[in-house]
Amino acid sequence: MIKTENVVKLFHSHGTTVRAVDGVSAEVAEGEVVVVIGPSGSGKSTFLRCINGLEIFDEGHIIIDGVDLADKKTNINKVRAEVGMVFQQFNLFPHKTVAENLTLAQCRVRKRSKEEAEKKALMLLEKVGIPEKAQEYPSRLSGGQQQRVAIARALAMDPKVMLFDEPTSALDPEMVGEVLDVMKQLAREGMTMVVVTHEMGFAREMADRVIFMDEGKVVEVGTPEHFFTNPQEERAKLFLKQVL
Amino acid sequence: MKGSQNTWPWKLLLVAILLVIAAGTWGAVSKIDYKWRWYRIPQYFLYFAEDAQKIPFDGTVVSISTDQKSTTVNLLSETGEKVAVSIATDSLKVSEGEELFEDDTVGFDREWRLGPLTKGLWTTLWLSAISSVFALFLGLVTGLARVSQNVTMRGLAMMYVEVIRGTPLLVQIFIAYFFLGTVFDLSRNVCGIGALALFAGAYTAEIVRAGIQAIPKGQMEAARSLGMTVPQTMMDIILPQAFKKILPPLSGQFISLIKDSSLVSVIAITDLTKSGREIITSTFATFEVWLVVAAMYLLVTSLLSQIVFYMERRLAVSD
Repeated sequence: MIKTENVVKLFHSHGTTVRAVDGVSAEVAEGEVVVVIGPSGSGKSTFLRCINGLEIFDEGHIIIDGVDLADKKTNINKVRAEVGMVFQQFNLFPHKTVAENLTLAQCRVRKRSKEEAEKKALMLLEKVGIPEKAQEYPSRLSGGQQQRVAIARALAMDPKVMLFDEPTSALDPEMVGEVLDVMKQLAREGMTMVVVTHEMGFAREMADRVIFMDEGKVVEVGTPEHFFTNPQEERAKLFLKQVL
Repeated sequence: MKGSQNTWPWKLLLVAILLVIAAGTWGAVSKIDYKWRWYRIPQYFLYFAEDAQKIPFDGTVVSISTDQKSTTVNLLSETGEKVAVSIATDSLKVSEGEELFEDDTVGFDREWRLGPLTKGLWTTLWLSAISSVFALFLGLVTGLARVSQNVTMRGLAMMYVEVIRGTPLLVQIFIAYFFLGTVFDLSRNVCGIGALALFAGAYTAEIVRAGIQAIPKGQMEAARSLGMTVPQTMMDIILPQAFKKILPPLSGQFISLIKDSSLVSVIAITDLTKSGREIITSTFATFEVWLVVAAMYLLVTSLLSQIVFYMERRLAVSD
């Protein structure tokens, strides 16, 4: 489903160049849940953002469902419509109601009729557990509810892959659970997911594979049992000691 | 010091200060022996015109017919030409069969007409309205160009904004009229509107740019991640939110535009200000006219403020 080869992303600031993502090669199979963990500044979010073209990477290839993002002829909008993204800060559209948040891209990008889009929106709000908020504006919702709406908004496009960029990091602790529950449900339904998170519990329970990144590089890849109980690399051991 | 403290002593002070200012002005004006003639002002808003209706040839009155409001006099010339003249009934000066010479008065036609102040206000209003529309369009395009990735667009937009903001409007109006107007053979109205629109457009562009940049980056990213194109995102996500943010400065800009439009009077467009000047040349009621003109501008601008205030409240529902 997703294949990355030697992806490099450089950031230039004040005359110095930082290799934020430094030659990351990874593969995500269909239906697989891959959790990317690592200390902050390890490039995991940047890597995730490269996958749907929010960051333009400098070297390497990212191939999604057979389409190479590095290819100049690739229509990035088409790719993005197939790749759902959930942000740390939710990024709901504050001037639109919850229902409109879910229908807008369906109508504009998928060219669905308003009725069809609304039906889909309501169905998805049901799924994330807040159908009663359809006509509210996002500012009236709690953080957890907003993030669930954001997940529903991404799902409304029928994506083949879902990317989660620290979806629970901006939430109050008591709201983390409701968002993780929705994500777990999605994983069980067989959605292909790449999740950048600090929720080790989620990684342990749901991940098919864990990718540990540090300083822009993939340090260790493995199943959660293996990674959490018997990490091979020193940096991974150190990281786990700090977070667990 | 909670909010509900007694404020009426301060309100009294406010009234007292205003009274002192008014009394001071009054005292100063009475010293210079100015004769106020307020009664001459209303006619410049609306007046009752009386036009003499005259027979255009030598001839006779054939018939006179009267309905409730007016009287129609049918006239016949010696050469057989027929003309009907409509006049006010009580101003009839001829009788049936009477013979008249050319330019004899048949009677008077009376009607209410708009005076120069009203007409001038109307000119100011439509001039400002049309300029505002163009300015908004120009400002939007330039503002978008200012935040675009394209270096050429960004450069052009920046130059336009810098040139306009760095020169006085009065000079721009002169250039628009005496230079561009002459070279491209443009009417004074086109020059006036063009100068105002270009001027306000540059400021609007900066407001638009600031408004767009005030929208969090995540909004663009979220929309793009859903597969929406940049124009779609601009139209559906960024600009509606930016518009809400920039409504107060934008309305300030258009209020400024109404006031700045008074400068087009220098290229002989008969707006409110020019009408005021013309009335003064015939009445010498300098004080009254300028005070009235100022009050009329104030009325228009405060009305606009009220409308914007109402719009802001309507747009605040999603906050």
